[in-house]
Amino acid sequence: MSLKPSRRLSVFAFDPSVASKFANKRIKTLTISLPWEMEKQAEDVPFVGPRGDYLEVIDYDPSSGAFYKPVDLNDARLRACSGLDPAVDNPQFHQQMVYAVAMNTIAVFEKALGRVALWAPRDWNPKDRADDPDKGFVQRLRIYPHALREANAYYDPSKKALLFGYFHVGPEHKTMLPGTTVFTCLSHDIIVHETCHALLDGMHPYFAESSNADVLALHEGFSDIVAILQHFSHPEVLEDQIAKTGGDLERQSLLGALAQEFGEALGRGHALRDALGRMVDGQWQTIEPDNSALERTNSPHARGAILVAAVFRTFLNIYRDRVADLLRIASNGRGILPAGELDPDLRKRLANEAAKSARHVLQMCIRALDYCPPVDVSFGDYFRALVTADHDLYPEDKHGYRAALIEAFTAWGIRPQDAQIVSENTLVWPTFQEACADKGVDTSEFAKDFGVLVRAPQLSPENATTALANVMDGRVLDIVADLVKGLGKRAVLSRNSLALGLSADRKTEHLDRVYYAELFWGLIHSQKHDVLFDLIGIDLTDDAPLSIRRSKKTGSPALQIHSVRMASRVADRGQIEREYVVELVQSRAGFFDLDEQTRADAGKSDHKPDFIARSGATLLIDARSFQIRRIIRTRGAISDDTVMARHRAFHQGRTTRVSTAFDGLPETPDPASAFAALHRSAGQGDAQ
Amino acid sequence: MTRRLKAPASGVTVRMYRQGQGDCFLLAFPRKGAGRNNPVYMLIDCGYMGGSQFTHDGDKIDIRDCIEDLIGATGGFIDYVAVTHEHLDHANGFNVKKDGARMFDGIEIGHLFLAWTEDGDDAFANDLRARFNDQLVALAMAEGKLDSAGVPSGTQNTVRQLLEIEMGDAEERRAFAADPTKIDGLSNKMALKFLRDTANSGPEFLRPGQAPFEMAGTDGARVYVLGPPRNEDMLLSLNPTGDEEFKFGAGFGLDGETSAFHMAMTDGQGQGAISPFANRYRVPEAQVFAQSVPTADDGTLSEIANYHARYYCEADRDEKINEWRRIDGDWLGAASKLALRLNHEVNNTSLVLAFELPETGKVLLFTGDAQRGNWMSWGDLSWGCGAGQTSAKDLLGRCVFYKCGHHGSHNATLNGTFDSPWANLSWFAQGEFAQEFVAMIPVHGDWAVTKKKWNHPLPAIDEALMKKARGRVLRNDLDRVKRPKSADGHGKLTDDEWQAFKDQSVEARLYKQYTVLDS
Repeated sequence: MSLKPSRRLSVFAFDPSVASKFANKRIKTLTISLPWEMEKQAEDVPFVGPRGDYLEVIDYDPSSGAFYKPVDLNDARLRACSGLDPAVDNPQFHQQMVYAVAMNTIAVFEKALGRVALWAPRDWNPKDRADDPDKGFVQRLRIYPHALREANAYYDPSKKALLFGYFHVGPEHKTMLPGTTVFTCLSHDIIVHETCHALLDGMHPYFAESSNADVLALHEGFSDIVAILQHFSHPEVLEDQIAKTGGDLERQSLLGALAQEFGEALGRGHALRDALGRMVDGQWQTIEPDNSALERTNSPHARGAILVAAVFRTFLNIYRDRVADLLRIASNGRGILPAGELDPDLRKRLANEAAKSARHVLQMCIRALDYCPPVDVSFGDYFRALVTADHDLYPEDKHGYRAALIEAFTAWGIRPQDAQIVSENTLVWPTFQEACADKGVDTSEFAKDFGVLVRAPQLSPENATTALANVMDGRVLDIVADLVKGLGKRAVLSRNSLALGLSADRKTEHLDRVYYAELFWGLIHSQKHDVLFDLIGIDLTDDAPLSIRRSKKTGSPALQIHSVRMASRVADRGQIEREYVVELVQSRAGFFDLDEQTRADAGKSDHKPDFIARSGATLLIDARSFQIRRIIRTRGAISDDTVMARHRAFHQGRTTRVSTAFDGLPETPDPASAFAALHRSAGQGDAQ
Repeated sequence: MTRRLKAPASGVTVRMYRQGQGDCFLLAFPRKGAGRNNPVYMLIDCGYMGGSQFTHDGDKIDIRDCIEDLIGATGGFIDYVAVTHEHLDHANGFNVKKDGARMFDGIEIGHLFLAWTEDGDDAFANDLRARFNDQLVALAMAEGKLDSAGVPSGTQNTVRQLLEIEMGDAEERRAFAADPTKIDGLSNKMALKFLRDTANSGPEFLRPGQAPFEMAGTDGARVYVLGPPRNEDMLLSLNPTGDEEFKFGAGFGLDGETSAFHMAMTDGQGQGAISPFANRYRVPEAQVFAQSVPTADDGTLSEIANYHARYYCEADRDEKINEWRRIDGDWLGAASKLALRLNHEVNNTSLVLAFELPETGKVLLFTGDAQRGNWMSWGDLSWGCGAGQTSAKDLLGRCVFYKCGHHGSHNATLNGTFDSPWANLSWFAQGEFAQEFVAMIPVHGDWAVTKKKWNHPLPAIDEALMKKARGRVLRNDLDRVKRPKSADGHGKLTDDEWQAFKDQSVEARLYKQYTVLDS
């Protein structure tokens, strides 16, 4: 524990438009405190930019031909009073706000996952890593608070940067003054949302690649979920809202409405993406869950909103359950509160319960990211990930959280594809033993430790890497040795530093993950039984269709492991359990024309593929025993033609033939700028 | 000399020229009293996208060959010309020159039809055009900035392509950007002016819902006007949502404020627009870019003053290790949004015409590039009153020929069911009319997909048309219509139906042609 005080910084609690309403005077601004441990800045030198360990704010406004002077957060006048006071007209406050809110979001992520957050490497394709000593490591996400002149803000994965725009209020706007300027970088929700895109991209680079209607929707929905739930970590706002809604958070409340200012200025009447309800003839109406809503839209934003609605319903289910006793106590057992002001003590207790519920749901949502397939993810997969993550953490559903989750998700029609029965048991991803049994694999035919990647039960994390090298078969070992040569960080890597959790140095952590990916690549290739590959849904056989990308090293179908993470949790007796999260990906060239596909499968096509299909699995591997614990597969393996047919149908139906971008622009935007396009077309499907 | 295009004894022959991706349709109706050999001709649009020409037997088809054929086919007199909307691929053919002379100078034009949006006496139309022109000015100026460093190539291409459709070639665009009062110098404007000056009568501005009228000289073929809608909301509604859409298409709606962008373009005339912040916070970019930063930190003051030079411009580094993260040109990405929206809005101003044949009441539908809002507005239309009333649904129920909108793009043919309240493909060709439904798609699919990344035609729409027409879809980019196999799932075509289709259609080097018989 550090004795240094946290850095405290003022921000708008929502955005300037909310702050300007007199009724919101108590929740105008917030003070965010950032642990000193996260951002170890010396106090006696300027902290300019701010440019810290995770972020660098660079305030260039190219359309105005100007830079704005950077703030110095170590200025004595600012340190003494939570930084600059919120002010729309001071760009230095804008710098402070984007920094504080983005850092706070990173902190929430790190806490939930128990490890340091990394940005997506600059180029995570291993073949380009060879001569880069940093292996593509990106230390800081860049934030440009005034990069654009449009109603838009986005994460640019090619620049590892957040770009925020500003724009004018339209002429017909009802509640905001037409012609005034709206800054997207002053909206708490937009900052959280965009930071989440960057964090999610750091974990799952393939989630930016649209291969079914849910992939991008998950990016959108997840980012909104974090933005909404993060408000609940601020008790002062929560208490005010509970007072206003009489304890019933389902009623119209700022907390459920995202990006107020952004949406209002676009003339949509109220919030941009509203998970709770809508105004109908001037009356607020909660949206009733609709289990066919997903079938009616393909737009990432509309589908994302459905995911948000399902998670929010989960939260409300849990909150209602948790406060039922409080309401009974406060109402002499009737459970119905009398009209009028809430008792201040009750208000505090309700706020506490809401905060706890929100924190739990937020943690569930973030932890679930470790339990998703690496590519081609769907809402059904994410649903399963949520249930599994919570199940592994709390095997007994004592508080009924999972029941609340399952009720909410099924009410919104989210379920795994082709699931005949939706229950906790069917939703939890299969364990290795279950997968064997379901596949009809008779494990007695193999050694007792079938599914153990390293047969060395006495292995301790400290000597793991050496031990791994000992068990690899010769050919593979050569390849791995070649790969790790010149990594130059042997000294650091000689111990299992992935287990350092939040105290890890981020650059070392990155290099470790790259190194571990190579090791696991070797381990997987050293496995002797094809039936194991079949179980985990990969195809390494030489007679697999030749449209499957081949490895230059082995000549067999390529298997990509882009990073290995360590997930840790507190098990039932309080001990820390750790497991490796290993993501395996295979790619295959796809063609719209079936004859061309046949030619490509036989290695006889010289055409550029129309799309790239990817499949694979996430393996959870016990860090102590190296036993595969759970298998999280994509729908179908790479050599499966029905998988190709599904990908083909999806890509053919799109308005533009691009494999990575996901928008409606007629020209392929640079794939890397796909988020720009996604956000430029925000609101699609909202009309009518 | 090309042979004249004859009309059928009763009915109409439609010739779709193969000048490239774009529309050029010549219709021949039998002339009352004169019969088949001296038909009443109607030309709908004439234009193509540069570079989209077809190759036939190794030979590139030049639009001049098509126009030459058109002149021969009509004998140099076209009774009616209609221009659906002001886009290059519908209008630039009227400007085409051969041996220094405009080819259309050799053609006499009887009467010109334009959409009400071109009417200079219509206040709403004038507002609309002023709005479009404002946007054109901003875009033309934005284009001038695209060459500056750091503009993503995707943005550059998108803006250039869209502006070409709106305004014409780069030279014309530069001239316009330099002097926006010279809007008349843009290709599309020149084409329209030429037609207005040349036509013997008109232009007649057509409005949806106006009484259907008989085409003079014909045996009673009638014209119904369905679009563009007079309703601003519909005009600006561009893309299908939910069930209106052919599935899997990711719809996109574009809105949002662009006035800050406009201001950046049109204020300050290149000296940088006005920043929203006070001077005391600003450091002019030139000052930062010119700065050289000492390699070592030399004091607290310079840390602040040099922050941008150091981390954005990397003034103190030999290797520009962070140059890939600069954002100098990204803000111009808004131009592609603006350009795309403008492009769609102009598409939506398309004149939509339905031709009704006198004997059988069969209908041919030409939609230009009409998008969602235009389609949505048709459902409310009806003509006549009492027992003689015709609703749009009645009319489209008799539609046996559909000129596929906007080269088959996702937002220019709506999906739906017969019971949907909006006009959609399922409204077309009901009852006995279903038997002979035929569609034409003016498209160059390979070119659109590979060169432009446009999904034209959208496979889902192509498929829906193939199904509805049971394979009788004439596409400019396919040499021969193949007889569908029942295995294709398009429904079975009898031998007689197939033979009839073959008899009524012509697939030639310069055109595809189909005759709708009025019997």
